[in-house]
Amino acid sequence: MDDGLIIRAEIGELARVSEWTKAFGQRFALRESTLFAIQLCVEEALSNIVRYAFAPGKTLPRPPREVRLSVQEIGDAIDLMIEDEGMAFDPLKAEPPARPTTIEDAATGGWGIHLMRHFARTLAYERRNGVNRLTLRFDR
Amino acid sequence: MELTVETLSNEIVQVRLAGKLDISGAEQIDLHFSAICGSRRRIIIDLSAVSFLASMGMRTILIGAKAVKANGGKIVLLKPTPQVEEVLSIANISTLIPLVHDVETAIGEVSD
Repeated sequence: MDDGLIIRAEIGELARVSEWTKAFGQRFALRESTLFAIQLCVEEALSNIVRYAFAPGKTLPRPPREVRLSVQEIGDAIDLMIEDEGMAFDPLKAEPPARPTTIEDAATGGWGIHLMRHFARTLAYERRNGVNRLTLRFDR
Repeated sequence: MELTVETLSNEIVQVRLAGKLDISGAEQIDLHFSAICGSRRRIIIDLSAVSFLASMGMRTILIGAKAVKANGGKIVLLKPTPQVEEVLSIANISTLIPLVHDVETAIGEVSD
């Protein structure tokens, strides 16, 4: 069974995403830890899209710029797909931040993809016809 | 996201965060949290009521902690839930800012 949501690429839309994930979490009877992992990864992916994918000055879709989310049960796993028409960006190629030794040296960002790699079983990226598609798979 | 402040002594303050520390939650507390970290030198961040933590929330905490350290102060994280602690661990925040599970130890961490 597929379940989808379309949002504008704006921070204010994240509350709708939170409600959507809670709803399918109940429908699929997901463990709390699985729902936490999904919500964290969605937050990280969408934060990146909202902040970077539609940077000004690029040739990109006119507003409203949308992000499409869908979720599907695949056996003992949950697949979450996030699609946007922003700038091409393969998150799987991003390097994690260097492990800091002091608080002064610590980067104040760049953990999002690192967190997604830890909390999702697998990540997959493809770009086709101007669309970035990130698929995250989670254990139920 | 809510932020409340309790003064434990003349110098130690306990900042209690409650709710989701996602990108919206971080925006809501950013100004107040920055002001506290810029002006106080002994800070306990009580995370026991934080149900969710993502990058932007960690960013707010880390920037505040940097300010406290730059001022010669001390900061400690108190009682995160297991899932929040896991997020802090993956980002290595817990190796940079002390993380404890009871108030007495927290007070010890920020005291001279």
